[in-house]
Amino acid sequence: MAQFAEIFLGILTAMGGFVEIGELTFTLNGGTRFAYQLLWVNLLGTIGIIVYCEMAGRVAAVKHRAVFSLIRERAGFSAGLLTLVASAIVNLLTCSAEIGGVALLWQLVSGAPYRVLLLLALLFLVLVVWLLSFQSIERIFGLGGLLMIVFGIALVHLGPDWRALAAGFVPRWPQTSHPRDTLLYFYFAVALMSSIMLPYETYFYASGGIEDKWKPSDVGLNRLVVIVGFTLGGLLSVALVGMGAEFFAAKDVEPQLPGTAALGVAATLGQWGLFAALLGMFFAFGGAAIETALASAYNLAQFAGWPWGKHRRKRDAGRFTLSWLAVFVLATIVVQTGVDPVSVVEYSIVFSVVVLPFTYFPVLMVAKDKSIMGEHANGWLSNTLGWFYLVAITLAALAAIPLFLLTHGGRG
Amino acid sequence: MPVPRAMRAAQRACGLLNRVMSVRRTPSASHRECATPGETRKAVHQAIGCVLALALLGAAALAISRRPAGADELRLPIAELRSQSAELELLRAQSAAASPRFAQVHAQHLAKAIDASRDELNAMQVEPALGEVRTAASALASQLAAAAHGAADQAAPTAALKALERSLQR
Repeated sequence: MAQFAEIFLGILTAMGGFVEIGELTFTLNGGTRFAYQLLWVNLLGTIGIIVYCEMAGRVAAVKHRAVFSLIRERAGFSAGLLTLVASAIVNLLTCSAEIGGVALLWQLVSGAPYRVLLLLALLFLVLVVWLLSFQSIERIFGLGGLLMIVFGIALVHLGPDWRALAAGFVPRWPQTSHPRDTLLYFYFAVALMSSIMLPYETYFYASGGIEDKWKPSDVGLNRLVVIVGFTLGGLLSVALVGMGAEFFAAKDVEPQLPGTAALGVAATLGQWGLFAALLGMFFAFGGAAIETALASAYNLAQFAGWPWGKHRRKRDAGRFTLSWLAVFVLATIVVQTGVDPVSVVEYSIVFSVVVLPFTYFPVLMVAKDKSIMGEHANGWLSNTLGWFYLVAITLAALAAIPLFLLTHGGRG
Repeated sequence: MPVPRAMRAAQRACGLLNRVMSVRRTPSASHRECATPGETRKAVHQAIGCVLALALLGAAALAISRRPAGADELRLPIAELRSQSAELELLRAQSAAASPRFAQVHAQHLAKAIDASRDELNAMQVEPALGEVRTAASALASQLAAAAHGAADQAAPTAALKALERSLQR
């Protein structure tokens, strides 16, 4: 039973990547603009994040080493510092957007002023991380985030074109009416890949494995956790693409707000669907906020060599505790300025593509090293997939900024 | 013998690759390795490089933003307004399926987004040939904003915005 509960680490990590506020609107938009044509990117990204989180989790289980200590060791101080700063910016921006998202959801239910709700969201998240154990957080937010399945139910209720949906998993040249739309398609493909393989998922997952005290005998469990957790995340993302393609495209709506996503479910399933969607989004956004704040603190502590972990007493990991508190406070200040949370996270998704190769390269190097990992080193399949994805994300990193500029920030 | 330029470039690339690939193992229990002065200097150089690159990008973005907008740029806020207008119609049609509070607050969120798109449209400097389209779009944006801010009798001008958007796609 205790081992079964470990699944929630995978689910919570996946929620932070697949259905956080930016990814939610971005995926719906991808479906609205290109129907099912981008589904192959979802599949590719899901396998990629499974491959790398499995490696990072295996290293954590076998050597009790988290990702940023590997980055510092393998890439050296300068490149490590650059990755630390870039990932800290990505995490902070994403955390800001998620706190903003939680406040927007609370406002949709209560009607209270947004800025007051931002402060309440900050207080809520700080109390959750302060008072609850790591295991309780992963179970509560992982389980709650599963309410997002309501988007899948809504899609089935809409009666999607299953043949077109299945065909979307096969990569093909985009069918667009204008060269500008072809560029936009490739921008969506790169950004979708990046948002599924967001670096903080790997930081959080590997550190979570250490928090959960994984041992070498848990290597099989790690594999099960990533496959189940991220496959669920991938299915939710397919459901969002489907809602975009089947519902919003027909209405000429390109969703930009979390409320729009919920409205689609309400229109399909009625009030119970609306409340399930709002609750699912609350757990998904809240989980992502916690994931990014803790990932920032893990990164900093692992890079600097401070004691870290939720499993330690707070005074024994004082700088770690201060770090996640500081991230929550700074993130709230960012959204208090009035910036749009969804825009913030869309920028952070593009920026994070640049960090991806620096994050995944050290993980691959250690996971494949037999002198370090012994019998738990990568096999041929992990190595082949690892190199394939490293090349793919490096190409994506090179293409991301030019595509972002050429498509007016992904607007068209 | 002079080394050909291509070979020097290849040597530099190999050096860089070696530095990235080089294994520097610090003991896993203590990651307290302090940066050497050389490493710190390199990090400072990197930071200066990043700041300079950002400044250059910022200057380029500023220069581009001062150009009069063409059809491609003008189409963007109009497309956003078209989508928001369609969403307003959807919200009005589905208000019975959603809770009254949700419908009311979501309409406020939508109105704010519409105001932002309208402000962007009104602030645009467009090419002279697009002046008429911009004026027509601004009028429709005002109509949409009035509808979003609670004028229930005011229709959302989705079809007209869509027609304008299409006229710019040619």
